[in-house]
Amino acid sequence: MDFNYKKEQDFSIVTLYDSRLDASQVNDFKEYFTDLIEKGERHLILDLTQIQFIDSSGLGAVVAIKKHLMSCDEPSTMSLAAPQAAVNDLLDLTCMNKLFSIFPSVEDALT
Amino acid sequence: MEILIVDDAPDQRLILSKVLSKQGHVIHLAENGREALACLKSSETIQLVVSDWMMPEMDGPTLCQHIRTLHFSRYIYIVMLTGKQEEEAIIEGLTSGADDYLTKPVNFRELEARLKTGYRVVQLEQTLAIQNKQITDALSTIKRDLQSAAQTLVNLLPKPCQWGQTQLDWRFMPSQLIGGDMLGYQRIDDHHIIFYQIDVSGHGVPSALFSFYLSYIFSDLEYIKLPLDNLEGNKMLIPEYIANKLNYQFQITASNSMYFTMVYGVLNTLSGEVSLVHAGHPPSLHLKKDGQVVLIKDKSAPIGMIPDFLYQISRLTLEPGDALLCYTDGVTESMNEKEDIFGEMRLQSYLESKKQAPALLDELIDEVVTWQGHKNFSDDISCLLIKQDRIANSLEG
Repeated sequence: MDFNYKKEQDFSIVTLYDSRLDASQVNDFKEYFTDLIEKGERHLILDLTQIQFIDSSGLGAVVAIKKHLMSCDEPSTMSLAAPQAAVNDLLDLTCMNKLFSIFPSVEDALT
Repeated sequence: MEILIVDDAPDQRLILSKVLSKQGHVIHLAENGREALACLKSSETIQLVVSDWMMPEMDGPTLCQHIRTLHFSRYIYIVMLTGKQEEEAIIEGLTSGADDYLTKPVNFRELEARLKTGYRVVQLEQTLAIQNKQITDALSTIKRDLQSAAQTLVNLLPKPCQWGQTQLDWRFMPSQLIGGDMLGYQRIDDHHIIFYQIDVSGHGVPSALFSFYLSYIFSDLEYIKLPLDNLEGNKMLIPEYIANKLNYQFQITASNSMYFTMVYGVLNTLSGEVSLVHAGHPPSLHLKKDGQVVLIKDKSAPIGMIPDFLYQISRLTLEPGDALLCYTDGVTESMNEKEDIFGEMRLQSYLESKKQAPALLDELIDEVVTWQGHKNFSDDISCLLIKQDRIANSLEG
């Protein structure tokens, strides 16, 4: 899986460059974000524009990153930006809005 | 090494054979391609061939083609000798299956060097073949083990049965690489049945082990009963209590991202009243006796995702002739060739059209198999059907 990293204000904006976030990507995904958190990043925005499908393992990985952030002492945020229709349905069905701030675009997540 | 020299000219055979045997090789001889093939078939230790191009009966390029199409059990390295220097001839020789070529008159030091290269290729091929066999053997052992583990899980499921006027039946089709589905039911007193179905995230051994552990927990009434007595002095069973308790206990952490979806319910077999909780699970379907299908849809988080999530119960009543179908997303997410999923809408309209056929579960599995066009499931598929008989049956057991 390819990632694009951009820092704006306090936010680390990470764009995921793949059409799927599934079991085969989960290790890459976790490694990348664990690394960011260990480097001290506390405010993450995941740009999901490219992702068309998240499977059960993928969803577990996203939540695991959030739990990692929550286990750090400092205040932290994790937002999901620009989820596509199928991903949005999954987030909605599993009440992920109770765990993440979900925004229609990265710009919205920044404001 | 053992080398087969193929040449129709006796003097050429003789000189090649003398030179090469002096270099310590064991030499076999053939006068044309046909003889060469017979020799390769009878002596399985020959792995290098030095062949002339022009020969009666079968020429060099044809010999090469035969060697490549016959699929010998070992790799045979072929050096062609040619009087032709043209590019076209070289291309023809290599295309027909030769590995290397030398122009005549043969420079013997060059031939020795090229045969050494051939020997290295043959050795490499042998090593690869051995490793390939080891990997194939290991993989088939793993596949067999996974299949047998999947079957073991299926064998642990409760038998289809009838308690009073309630029938319980299920189908479970494990995925090729074993998944995380599990289901069960248990009679807890004269007229209450608890039932559940779970789907642990991911596939493979970790998911299966976790779902097996959960099934053990679900069978422990001390775990699932509320530590409070009801008016009759019995411990109460409240689905949302169980969901909240499991959710508290099995939260995803930074290092363990496994979670599960669940439906958990209690049925009063006399009144047909059901209270059930969904946790990120596909909506259960209330199949009414007139063929109507009602979705029991609750938006809820899977177990382990959101700390302090408060699960809610749904209630319904199974009238005589009604049924309740719980399923995992393996059913609705099965894909056809065009990568279209079966989907909830299709499932619902299929069930409406079937109007509770007696062999509903088998027909549903057949429908999914027909949809995806094969019987290899990429995710576990499980369905649990709870049916209230039309005519009350006073015999319990």
